[in-house]
Amino acid sequence: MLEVIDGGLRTTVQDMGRRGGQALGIPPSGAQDGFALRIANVLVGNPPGGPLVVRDDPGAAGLEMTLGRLKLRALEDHVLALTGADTGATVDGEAVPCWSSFVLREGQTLACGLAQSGARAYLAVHGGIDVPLYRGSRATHVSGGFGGLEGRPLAKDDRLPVGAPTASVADLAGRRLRPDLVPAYAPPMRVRTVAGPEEHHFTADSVEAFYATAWKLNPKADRTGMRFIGPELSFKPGRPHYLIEDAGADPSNIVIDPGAPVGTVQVPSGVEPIVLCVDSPSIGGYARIAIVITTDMARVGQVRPFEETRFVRISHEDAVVALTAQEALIADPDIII
Amino acid sequence: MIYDEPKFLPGGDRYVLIEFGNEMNLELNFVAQGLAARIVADKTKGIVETAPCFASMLVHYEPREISYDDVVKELKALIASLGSTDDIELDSRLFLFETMYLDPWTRDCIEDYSEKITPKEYDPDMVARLNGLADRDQLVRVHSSSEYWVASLGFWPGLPFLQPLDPRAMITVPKYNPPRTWTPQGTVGMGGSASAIYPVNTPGGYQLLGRTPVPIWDTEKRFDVFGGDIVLFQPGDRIKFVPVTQEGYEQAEARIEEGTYLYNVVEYQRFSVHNYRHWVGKLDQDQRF
Repeated sequence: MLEVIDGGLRTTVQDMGRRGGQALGIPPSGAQDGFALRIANVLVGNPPGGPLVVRDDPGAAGLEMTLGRLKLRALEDHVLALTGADTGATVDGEAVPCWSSFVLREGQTLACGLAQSGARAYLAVHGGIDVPLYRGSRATHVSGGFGGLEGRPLAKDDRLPVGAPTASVADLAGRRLRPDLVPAYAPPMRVRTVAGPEEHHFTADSVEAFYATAWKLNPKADRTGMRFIGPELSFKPGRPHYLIEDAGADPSNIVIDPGAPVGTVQVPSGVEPIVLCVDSPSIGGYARIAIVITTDMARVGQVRPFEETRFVRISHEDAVVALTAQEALIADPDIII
Repeated sequence: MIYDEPKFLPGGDRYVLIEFGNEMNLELNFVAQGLAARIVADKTKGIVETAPCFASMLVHYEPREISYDDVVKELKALIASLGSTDDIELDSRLFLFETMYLDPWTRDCIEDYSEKITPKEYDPDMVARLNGLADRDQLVRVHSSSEYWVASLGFWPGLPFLQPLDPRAMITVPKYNPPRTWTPQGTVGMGGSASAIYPVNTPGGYQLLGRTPVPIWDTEKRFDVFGGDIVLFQPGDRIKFVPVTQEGYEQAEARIEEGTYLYNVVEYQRFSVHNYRHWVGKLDQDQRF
C-alpha cells in the first residue's frame, strides 16, 4: 500500500489501455508515453503489456505524472522505478536515479520535483497498482470519470493498493535500463508519421509546410488532444458540393464522421494541427493530414508546452519495422543491467 | 455517393480505414454494422476490434500477426460474404425515452450563449424556419415522429450519433459557430442531419431541441439495463423520443434519482434492411407530420 501525501500537478493510474470500447466511443486511454511506463514495469519485474492490447494484456498499472510533484509514503516495503521525465526524485531527501529500480521502505517518503525536460514521469511498483478493472484495464479517463482510482487524479490521503509480490525485494532493486537506451527529451522532438487519408485535400505547399515547420505545443494540450502552433495550412479549391451539404462549408470538415484512431493529426479550419491522444474517442470530423506512428506517440507525450516538434513522414512499412523493433527491444532481457 | 468498391486506407501502422461512400446514407451504415458483426462472428486472426462510423469503419489489427495487405484481403472476402445490402439483418433494441422538447434548461443554455458569446435566435425556431416547418410545435411533432438509428458512438464516450429512420422526419441544421462552452446533460440536439443526446454536461455545437432525464452514461452502474457497463447504447440500437410535459420529465427524473426508474426497452426485434427499404419505398417523402 502507498499513501499519497501530495498528488502533484496531475497524477493518474495508467496501464497500456483498454480495448473493445472503440465502437462505444470508449477510448483506449493508458500511458501517453507507453515506452516509459513499460520500461518502468520491466525494471520492477511487472508484465509490461503492449501498445497492441491483443490478448487483453494492458500490463501492470503504474502512475503517470504530468510534470511531477507527486509525494508518496510507503506503508510497507516496495520496489519502485521512475522513468520518463526526470523529476529529480528523492527518498527521505536522498536522490534516486531515473530509469532504475529502488526500494522504498515502510515509512519512507518518495518526493518528486518538477520535470526539467520531458512532460510526463512514470512510477511503477512491483505487483502493480491494484485498482479495479474496467473493460480489462486500470487506465484512468478523467473527463469521463472512469477507470483508475475512482476515475480521477490522485489527491492527498488516497491509499493505493499494490498487488501481491512475486519476487523478493533483493532480486529487483538496483536494476537499471542500459544507458544508451534512455531517451533524451530534447526539443525539437522528432515525431514520425505516415500520410493521412486526406493529405491530398491540402495544397502541396501546405503539406510541405507541415513537414518543414517546427511546431510549438499549445499549452492547452491534454490527454485527449495536443494542438500545435504554426503556420496556417490551406486546402485545395473546388470543394465538392456533397461535402458542403453534409459536412459544412469549412474545407477542413470532411465527410460525416470518419474514424480517427489515436495518433491521427487533424487540422480544423487549417489552423493548429491536433494530434489525437489516448483519451480521444475514435471519431473525428476534420481532414486527417497525417497519422503519428504507434512508437512515436511516446515522444508526443513528452513534449512540453511551447516546445518544438517536427513531423517526419515515413512509409507504412517503416512504421511497422519501427514497431516490431521496439517490441523486440522491450522483450530483450539484456536491456536491463 | 456509394462507392462501387469500398476504399481501404491505412490509418497509421495498426488501423485500416474502410470507406463505403461519402454521403449521409443509412445504407452505408447498415453495411458497416453488418461487416462489424461478421468480423466478430468470423474471429478473423489478427483483428483486435472494430468501430463502425457513419459511412466508414475503423479496424484495429495487430501488424505482427497479419500484414496490412492480408488484413485488407480478409476484409474484402468478408464484405463479399455479406451478399447484397438487402440481406443484412441486425439485432436492434428499441429504447423509448421521455423527452421534454422546448424545455427550460436548454432555453437557459441558449440564453446564456446569447448573452455571453453571440446573440442567437432560439434554436427550435431557427431549425423550424430553415426547414420550412410552420413553427416550433411542428418541429417537435416532426422530430418525435421517427425512430432514430444509432449509427455510431463517439465524439464523447457513449454519445450516440443518430439518424431518423423515417425520411419524413429528415431535418438539416447548421452547427453553432463558435461552439458553446456547456450543454445540459441529457440535451437532445441536432447538427447537419444528425441528432444526438449529450451523455454529460460538455461543450458542443449542436442546435438544442429538448432534454431527456434518462441516463445514457452511468459510471456508478445503477441500472441493470447497462449490462454492467457504463455506456447504454450500441451501434444498431434505435431510440424513440416520447414527448412529455415538465411534470412528466420531473416524475421520471425523481424515479431515476431513487433508482426505481424502469427503462422502456424492446428487445425482440431484428432490423431487416429488406423490410426497411420496402417500407421507405411506400412512403410519400414530401409529407410531414
